[in-house]
Amino acid sequence: MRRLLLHTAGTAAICLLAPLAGLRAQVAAVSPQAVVESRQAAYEEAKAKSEAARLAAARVRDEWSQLLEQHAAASRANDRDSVRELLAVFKERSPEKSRLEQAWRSSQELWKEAGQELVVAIDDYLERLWPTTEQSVGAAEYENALYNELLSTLRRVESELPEVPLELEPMPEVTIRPGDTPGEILYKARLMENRVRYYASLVAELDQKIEALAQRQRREQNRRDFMTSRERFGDDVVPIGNRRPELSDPASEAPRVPIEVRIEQHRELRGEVEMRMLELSRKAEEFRGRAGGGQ
Amino acid sequence: MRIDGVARLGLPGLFVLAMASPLAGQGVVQDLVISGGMAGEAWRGDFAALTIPQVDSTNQAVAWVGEWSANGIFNLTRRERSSLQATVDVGFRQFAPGGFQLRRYSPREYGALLTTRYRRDVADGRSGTLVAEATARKHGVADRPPMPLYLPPGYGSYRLKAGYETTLAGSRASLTVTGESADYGAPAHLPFLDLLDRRSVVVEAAGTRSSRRSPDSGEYSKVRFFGSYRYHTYPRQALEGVFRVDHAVGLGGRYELTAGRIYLDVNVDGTRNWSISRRAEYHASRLGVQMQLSEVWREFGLSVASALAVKRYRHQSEEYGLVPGEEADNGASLYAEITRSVARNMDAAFRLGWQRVETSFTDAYYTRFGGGFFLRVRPTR
Repeated sequence: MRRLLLHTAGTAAICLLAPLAGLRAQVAAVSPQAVVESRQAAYEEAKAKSEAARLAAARVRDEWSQLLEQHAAASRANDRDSVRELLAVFKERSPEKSRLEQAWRSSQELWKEAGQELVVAIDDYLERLWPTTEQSVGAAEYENALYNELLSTLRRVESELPEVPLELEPMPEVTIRPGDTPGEILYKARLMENRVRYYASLVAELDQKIEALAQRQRREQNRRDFMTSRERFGDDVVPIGNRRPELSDPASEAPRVPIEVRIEQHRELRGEVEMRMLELSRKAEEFRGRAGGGQ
Repeated sequence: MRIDGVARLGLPGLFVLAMASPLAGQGVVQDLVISGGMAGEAWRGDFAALTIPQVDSTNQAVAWVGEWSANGIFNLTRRERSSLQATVDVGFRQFAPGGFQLRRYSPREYGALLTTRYRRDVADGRSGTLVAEATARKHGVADRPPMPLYLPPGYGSYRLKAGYETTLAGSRASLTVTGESADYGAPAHLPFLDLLDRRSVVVEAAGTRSSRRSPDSGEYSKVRFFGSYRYHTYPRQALEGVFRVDHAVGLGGRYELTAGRIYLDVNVDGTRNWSISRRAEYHASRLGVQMQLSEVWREFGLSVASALAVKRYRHQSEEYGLVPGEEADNGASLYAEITRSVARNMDAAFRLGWQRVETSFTDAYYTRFGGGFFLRVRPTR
């Protein structure tokens, strides 16, 4: 009877453990020190590029703000010549501004990707530096120093990595001022249409992120449902005596921001972006109408 | 006893209200799931449970089982460095058994759980994290049938836990102290049930090493080693004229992996139990494996969980070591579930389950086998 019991449970355990062997093999084929060094170099390069792109975008943005202030002042003073000249400058510099902002966003993405790859490599290396009892004192000291250095690099990288902001920049107020020519109104309409296209790409990007998070949420919910349904009536308890108080996982097991909250944050942002798209599309159409429907 | 139990069940609720009232309106429903389903189950065996006085001549029984349940996780407060979370779980099962000779039984089983968990980072998380938890669990059975249709007896358990976790040499280290009281509230005609009443204190130290595979996808592997000391008293079990007191030490390890579509959790632990009576001294070990494969075929997911527990007494005895039925010697279980999303906020699940429990001293056993279909609705999805 007992043999049957052990045989059955043993077979089940082997069946369940079989996929683990394949997974370990996938994970094992790495040279940790070389991987960390190359990824760290790639990370530093991506970080430097992103910083340079940020400075370039910030410089153009500052100039743009100054131009907006000058434009507002000229409009208030009813200085049509200055307004016209400034609009020409806006038109000339707008593509460069867009290009630099896009370059900054792309460089941030590359920086983040490089950082994540470095974090994975350091994690893997730290895993292999688990102290062994057979090593000499000198070797242990060296490994400890290396371990601490890697850990401090890991923390620095994690704190440096750019956070993708889950909020939108304030939307600039675009209005038709007295004296705006049809060409100027049409230009403003195009600016708004460009912004609508950018928002459309942002919505697509957010949809992808929401879908990925939702898949992960579903996996975790299925796991929780399966566990809870067995625990509820004690079906999972194998009654061999002295039931232990259930020892739940340590604090670090629970995520700081639950996945449900992250999904909600992304959905709220998507809703806001869609509202802006609608508002800008309506306004751009209105501007085109006022400009006489030009192309 | 019942009123006392309900009052105790309400304590964590009051704790929740007290903590949450200053921040009313900021609560967030993290997850809410309502589930219903039907199952068919079969039992076989000659296992005798001391706490079930009815004896029927059959060694086989079958039953249809209807089940309803609701489970919710609520983030009552969530700040950058602290959080308060409550978990509520309630369920009801109605059995329609067949195969008994004496009469028709109509067992009903309910379970309720309320857990509140408070977490706070110390010194912005640089020093560590404090966790405090209060849990009340109630399990009830009406019209409990004879064996082999084994249903655990009704009880109420109340638990308080405090723990501290910090980083040591690149690993997460934790120390947890847990106090628990379990009260089986025996009716007058079933005094044996009180034998299971228990008070416990458990001290556990654990070290966890994590390795993230990809931060955004949530992929990681984790190894955890733990050791524990457990002190149990059984105020209603008199062994050789003295109330039973057990001391146990345990050691164990756990490996957890999330990679791609696979989740794997392997848990092993061993226990050495000393008691004031030689009859209740034993070694026990358990192996638990849980695995989940998402999108194993099209949109179908597969979850499997198995457990194996073995116990060996240190001293041979002609008498029963512990309480038969609730404290068996060897046990194994295997559950498998296939799930599929059938609507935006509804999942369907088909589950198969098998369990076998046996004693060493009489070779008595019971097995349970069944399968069921469940629908799970998440109104907030």
